[in-house]
Amino acid sequence: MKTLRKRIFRTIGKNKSFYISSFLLTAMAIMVFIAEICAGKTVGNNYADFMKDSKVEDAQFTVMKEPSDDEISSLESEYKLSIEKQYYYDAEEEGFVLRIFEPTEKINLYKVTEGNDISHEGQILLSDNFAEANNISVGGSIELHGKSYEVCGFMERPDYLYMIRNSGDIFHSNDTFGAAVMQASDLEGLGAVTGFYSVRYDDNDKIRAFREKLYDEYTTLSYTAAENNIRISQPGEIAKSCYSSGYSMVAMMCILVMFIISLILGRIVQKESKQIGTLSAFGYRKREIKMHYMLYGIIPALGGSILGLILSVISLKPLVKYSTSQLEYIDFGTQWDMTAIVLSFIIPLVLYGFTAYRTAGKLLAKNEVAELLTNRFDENKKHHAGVFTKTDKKISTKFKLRTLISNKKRTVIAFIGLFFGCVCILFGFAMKDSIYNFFDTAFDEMGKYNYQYYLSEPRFSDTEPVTEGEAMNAVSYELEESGDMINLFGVEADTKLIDTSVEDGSSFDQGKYYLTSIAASVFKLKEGDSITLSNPMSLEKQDIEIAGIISNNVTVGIYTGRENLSRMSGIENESYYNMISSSERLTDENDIPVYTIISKDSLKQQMDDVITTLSTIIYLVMFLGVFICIIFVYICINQIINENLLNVSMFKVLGYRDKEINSMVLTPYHIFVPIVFLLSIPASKAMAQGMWDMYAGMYNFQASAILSAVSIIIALVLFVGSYIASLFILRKKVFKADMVEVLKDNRE
Amino acid sequence: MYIEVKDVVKKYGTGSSEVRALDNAGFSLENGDICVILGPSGSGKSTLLNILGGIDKADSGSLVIDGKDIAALEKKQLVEYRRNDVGFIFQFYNLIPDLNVRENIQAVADISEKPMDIDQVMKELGISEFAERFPRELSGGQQQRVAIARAVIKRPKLLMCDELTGALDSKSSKNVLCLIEKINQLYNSTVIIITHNENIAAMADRIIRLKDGKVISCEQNTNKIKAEDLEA
Repeated sequence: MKTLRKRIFRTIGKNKSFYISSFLLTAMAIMVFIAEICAGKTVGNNYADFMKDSKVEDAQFTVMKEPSDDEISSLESEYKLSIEKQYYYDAEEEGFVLRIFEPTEKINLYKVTEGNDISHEGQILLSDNFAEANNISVGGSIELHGKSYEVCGFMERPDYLYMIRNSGDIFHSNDTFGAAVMQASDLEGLGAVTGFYSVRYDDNDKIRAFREKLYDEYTTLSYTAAENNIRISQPGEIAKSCYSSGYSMVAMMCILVMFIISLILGRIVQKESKQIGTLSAFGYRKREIKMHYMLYGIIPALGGSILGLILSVISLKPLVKYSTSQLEYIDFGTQWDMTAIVLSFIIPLVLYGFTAYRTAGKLLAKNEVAELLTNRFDENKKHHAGVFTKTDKKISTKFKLRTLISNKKRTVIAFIGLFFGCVCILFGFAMKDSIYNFFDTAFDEMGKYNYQYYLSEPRFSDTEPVTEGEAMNAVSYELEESGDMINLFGVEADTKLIDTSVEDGSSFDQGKYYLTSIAASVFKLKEGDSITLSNPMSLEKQDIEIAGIISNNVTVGIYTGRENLSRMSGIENESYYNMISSSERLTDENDIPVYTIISKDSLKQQMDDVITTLSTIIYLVMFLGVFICIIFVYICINQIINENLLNVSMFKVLGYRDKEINSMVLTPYHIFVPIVFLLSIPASKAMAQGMWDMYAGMYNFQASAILSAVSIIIALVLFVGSYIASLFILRKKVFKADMVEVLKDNRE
Repeated sequence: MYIEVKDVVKKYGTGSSEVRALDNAGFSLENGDICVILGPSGSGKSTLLNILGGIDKADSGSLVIDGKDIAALEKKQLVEYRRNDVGFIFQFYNLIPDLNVRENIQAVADISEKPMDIDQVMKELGISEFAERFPRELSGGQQQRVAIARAVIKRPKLLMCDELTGALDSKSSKNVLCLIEKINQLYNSTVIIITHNENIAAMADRIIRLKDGKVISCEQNTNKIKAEDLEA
């Protein structure tokens, strides 16, 4: 057997293009699989550990009546929880806003990641990403409101790992918003601070009772649970998406790639029939022969898995860094998922090894040794006999058709490979087009307003009517079943700034509730559904029915009439807490107590940042598509050439020109190109839509998958280009087919 | 003179491992001749046939066939030469396994300027009844007849036969040789047969003997006999 094993490497050498391709494809598939899952695990566990160590809040709230220190102590002991009042100040400077906190003691403890903690007045700790984006180093300084502060170090807060300024924001830019910590005395010197309470629960059974007490005694104004706070929940969401995509989409891709490789491997072992017959004639036992051929599969499987693991070790850290690029980066060790690693070794081993073992076994079981020795068993016989023999088709056409039929598995592989590659290319374009379409339409769907103002105190429409816009109310509710937060918007009866067109064409009824299309997608709700909403402050419940869907892919919420919302949430009828306007941004000079302003431009900017991040993935997928097309066409056509080398040489001897030979040997899959492309268009659109549905939950915006004519044409050029490129590489092999050598081989 | 071969050299390997498959080989043939090239294994017969047929190139020397020096032809011109002027018959037939009998012949007819009628050729060679069969479904003799049909369908000026009876029994061999002779007479094709078999030389107009790549004799056969009279 030892001597025999030397043959394996010679056979590998003979089929080196297949083995190199399968080795690399396996390694790449394994790398993506392990890295994706381990990235999910690393991000999930490490951020969770960091949050635990830093005592991240379970919720934050604001109240109308401030509890005294004694009352806080009493609440803490009665409900087994910790409460800490936290203060911040938003320092708005040209080009950036810095949210500055005073040091915390019990909850949301910051961690110094570089440099030293603040020790005296005049020092400041900055969040890492902000400092890096603004080229500020430890020991440097930052000027706030005309005063310079020494940057003594960098820090991270567990409740600001996803650094957005407003809870309704989608994305952030590291250079324009960051967090900081300075001494309380410095903070007070900057201006009026904002306070809120953070709470950590030790006994979850007492949460509801505590919240009821809070509302009854202190009048809760706002309450946001950590799971509804995107600044805290986003690391977990990213980890979840890495982990689940690793075990679903990536795993499926890996298995598909390996399955395809194993089919081709089976064909290679089948070509060894003569040698299998010879070994059998020499007296080798069936089991010995099968075990020998199993090595043909085990070598690329093991090699691919080992290389894949090595590549995943190299790529994990960059992947984690990329996955957490939207988060505050915490430098921590990588974590490995043993299940993923074990699976990465077992799946290719089983698929390839078993295929080779089974193919050799089948040959031995179904054929006599003499048949194997003379190749008389040739399974193509049954396929070829009588196929297209009586048609008037050209010889080249018959040759191609028989090539397709003679090896159905290979034909299916080529089809799947081309389809998969083409879908990836078109998917990239569909994502790109959807984004541009989203930009063109989604913001108009929101309405004609450009600014939304959150007021710090109510105004009254009877005494303080809105002159340059419309009054509106926005109240957050919890969905009883999931605990997710959803905003209810109460709009004016004659609103001109918000598009309240209902998708089914019915008119907007001020007394009913209309879900935006993005909310319908995020919460999996539809027209006619009944939902229970819970007021996060009072915990009062209310059942509502979705009367219709409003096309709006940016605002996750429910629209109703302002009066209806006021009635529902106990707001005074004439009061309003929000304003919207299409004209110039209102400033403080207008004497309006503005708390926060959200502009469409800032939303567009945030969306643009999301898209920049997505672009990398989109181009990567397109590149992957091109690569898949090239590699699959190469593997399949290369096999056809190898099987037809004698025919190719014979055609040359008979005087066929290279072009004529190429048209027979290289083109059997031409027919697939238009079919695959046409099928890939709806498939890629469906895939893109699925992707947007997934992102809808993460980023709270949703695009509709579309493919423009221009993109279809470019994708076609790319697809056909990669197909032709592969054939172009293989053309050389046809040119090189030696007439003399092949005739000699046949003579032997 | 139809074929004039002068000082043809073909070497394989380099340095100490260099082998001269053809060593200044030279001879000439008239149009319509049947030429038998004899020689032991390794004498350079197949190399000579390959070079004459335009599927291999000589390292030096000249091969003028019908006024064309094929040693000087470019790759593309050699394709046209094989396409229009030469027919090949091989010992192991080299039929295209994925094409049936008719299609194997048609594959050559399709690229010929003035091909013969396929049905007529098949009828003459006695293979009409196998027209729809694939090569693997035929006996050696039947396959060789298909190979002959494929070679002659284009009306080649030069018919190259490489050990064409090597894989056949004596009865089939004689039949095949008779067919070759008939083709030679019908279409005035120049026929070159390479063989180990001394007996076949008796049907030739010219007999060339090769040894170690050298032409050791090239003589006119004054006692030419018909193929059907060849010794078994």
